[in-house]
Amino acid sequence: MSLIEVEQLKKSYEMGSERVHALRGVDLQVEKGEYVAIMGPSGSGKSTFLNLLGCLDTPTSGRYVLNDRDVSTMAEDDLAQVRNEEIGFVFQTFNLLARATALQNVELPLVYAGVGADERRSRAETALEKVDLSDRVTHRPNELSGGQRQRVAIARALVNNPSILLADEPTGNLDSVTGAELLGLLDSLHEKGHTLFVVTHERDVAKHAQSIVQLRDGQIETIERV
Amino acid sequence: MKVRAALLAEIATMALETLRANKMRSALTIVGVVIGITAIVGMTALVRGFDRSFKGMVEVLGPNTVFVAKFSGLSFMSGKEFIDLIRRPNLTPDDARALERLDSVRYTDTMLGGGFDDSRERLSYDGEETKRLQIIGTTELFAQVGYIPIEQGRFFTASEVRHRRAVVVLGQDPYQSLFPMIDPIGKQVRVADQQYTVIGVMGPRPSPGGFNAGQDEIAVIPYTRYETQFGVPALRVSGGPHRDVTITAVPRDGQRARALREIEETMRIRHGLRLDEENDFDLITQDAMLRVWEQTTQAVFLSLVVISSIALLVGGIGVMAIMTMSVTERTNEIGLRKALGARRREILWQFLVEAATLTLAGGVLGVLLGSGTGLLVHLVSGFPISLPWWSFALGLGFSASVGLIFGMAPAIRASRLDPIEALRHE
Repeated sequence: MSLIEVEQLKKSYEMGSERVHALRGVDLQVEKGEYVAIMGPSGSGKSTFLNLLGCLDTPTSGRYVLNDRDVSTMAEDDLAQVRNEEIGFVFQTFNLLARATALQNVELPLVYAGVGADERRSRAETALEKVDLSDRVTHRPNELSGGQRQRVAIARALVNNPSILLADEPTGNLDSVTGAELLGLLDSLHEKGHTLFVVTHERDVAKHAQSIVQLRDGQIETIERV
Repeated sequence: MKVRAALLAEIATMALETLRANKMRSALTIVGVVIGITAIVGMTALVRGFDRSFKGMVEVLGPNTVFVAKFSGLSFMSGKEFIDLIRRPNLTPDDARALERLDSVRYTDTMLGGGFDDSRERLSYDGEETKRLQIIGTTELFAQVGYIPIEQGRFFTASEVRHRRAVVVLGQDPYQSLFPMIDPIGKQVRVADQQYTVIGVMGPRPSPGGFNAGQDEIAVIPYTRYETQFGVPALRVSGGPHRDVTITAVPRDGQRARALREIEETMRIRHGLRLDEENDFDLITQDAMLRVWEQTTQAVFLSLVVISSIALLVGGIGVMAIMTMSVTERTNEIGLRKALGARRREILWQFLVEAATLTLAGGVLGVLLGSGTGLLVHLVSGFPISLPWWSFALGLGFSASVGLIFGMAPAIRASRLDPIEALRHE
C-alpha cells in the first residue's frame, strides 16, 4: 500500500450555467518519503489537485486513499481532523497570525489536536529548533524577515508530525537567496524522511524534487523522474 | 472531555487577545451593555434598599393596628380622584369613641392634624424659635399605638386629655433645636401663641427610606387641647370644610379579622351608606400598605426590566455588527485555522466566546458602575441601598447571554466558511 493512492480523481464545479471540469481523472501513487513537485500552467488544475491532496475539498468522483484511509467521501469535520493529523500546509503568503508570537503560531495545530499546554510548548520549541529559529521564539511575524516567517510556517506544518507536507509556491514571496535557503531546508526535511509536495511554476524549484508531475487541462501530462 | 476544556480555555485566551488588540472598537461596542447592566444593578440596589426600609417602617406599626382615615395613599393608588375623596364625610372624635365600644377593639387613638400644611406652627423657648412643625393632637394612647419610644419624661395621661391640659411631648427635632444642653422636662414653651409645659420627648421615628423626611419635626398635644386652640383643622374646598382626623384602632389579641369587619360595619352605619355604596373612608392596615407597596415596586421593577432590555438589545445589535465585521476581516485567519484542523464547532466557539467575553467585560463594568452609583447615592443622601449578590450574578449572566445570542449569527457564518475560499480571501 502506498502512502497516497489517487484513482481517477475528478472535480467539477458549477460556474453559473456552465460546468467547469477542473480535474478530469488523475491517477497517482506516492510512496512514503517521496519528494514530488507539481507543475502546470494556470488553469491546469494544480490548485484543485492540491486542495484535494490537502483534504480541503472532496472530489466529485474517484478515490483518494491517504495513509490507508479513504478520505474522498469524508464529512467536513472528519476532514478537518485528517488535515490536523496528516497534513502540514506551507503557503506562499506564509499565513501566520499577526498578533501571535512564532511559538504561538507553531502551537496552533496542537491546540486543535487537543494537546495540553506544556507538551504543546515543548513540541513547538522542538519544531522551531528544526528550522533553526530557536532564538526567535517570542518574536511576532512583523519582527521576522520573509525567510524567517516561512520557516515559522514550516515549523507549524511539521509540529503535528504529519504524513505529508504540502507547500504551495513556498518561495513565491521570497528573494532568490532566501528562496534557495528555504529549498535547502526542504531538501533536508526530505532527507530526514518527510514526504513532500511542492506546487510551483519554477523549473528550478521543481528540480529539487524526485519527480515532477506536469498537469495540463485537468490531467497528468507527464511524470518526470529527476 | 478534559481535552475539550483545555481547548475552550485556549479559545478564551485567543478571544481575549483579539479584544485587547481592538480596544477602542471593543469599548464602543459594549457601551449599550454597560448601560443596561448599570441600570439593572444600580436600580436594584436603590429599589431594594428603599423597599427594605419601607417594610421595616410599616412593620413598626404592628401587624394588627387598623387605621381609619377619610382617605389615604391607598385610595390614591387605587386610582380615585382627589376631588371625590375630599368630599367624603370627615371623621370625628365621636367615631373613635364609637369604635372603642366594639368588643373586638382594645383601644383607639384619635389624631388631629398631621395632614396638611395649615396645622404647622412654630415652637419657641427662651427667645429660640423652631421652624414650622407639625402639631398633632392625640389621645393618651398615641405613643403606645404607634410604637413610639418615649426618650425622656412621659406621655400625657387620660386625665390630662380629659381636662384639656396644655402639655406637650416634643419630637426629636424641636427637642434638639430648643434644648440642646438643658433638661426640657417642666420647661414652658410657646406653641403658636399659647403656653405649654414640656412633659416628654419622643425618640427618633422610623421613616420610609431611612432618610430625613421630617418625621421628627413634630410636637404632640392632647387632642382636646388641640380642638380648643386650633379647632379641628379645616381646609375649605368645594365640597365643604375638610378635616384631618385619623383614628387608630388596636384590636384585641386574635380578633383582628373580626375587628376589621366590625369597624367597617360601624363606620358604614355611622355614614348611613346603603348596601350598594362603596366605603367612603379608608381602612389602612399593614397588609394593605404592603400590598400596595408590592404593586408599586413590581411596577418599578417591570419598567426597569423594559429599560434595561432596550439597552441590552442595542448593545446586542452593536455586538452583532462588530462580530460580523470581525468575521469578514478575519476570513483568511478562519481559512487558516480550518486548514490546520479547526472543526466547525471550534470556529463557532471561538467567535461565540469572543462575543461573550466582550459583553461580559461590559457586564463587569456595568456591575461596578451600578453598585458604585448605588454607593455614591447612599453616601451623599443616606438613601438606603441593598446590593444583593444575585443582582451581580444576574448582570453578569445577562451580559454574557447577550454576547452568546447576538454573536451566534456571525459565529455560525464563520464556522460555515469554505476553507479554500477563506484562504484565498485577502
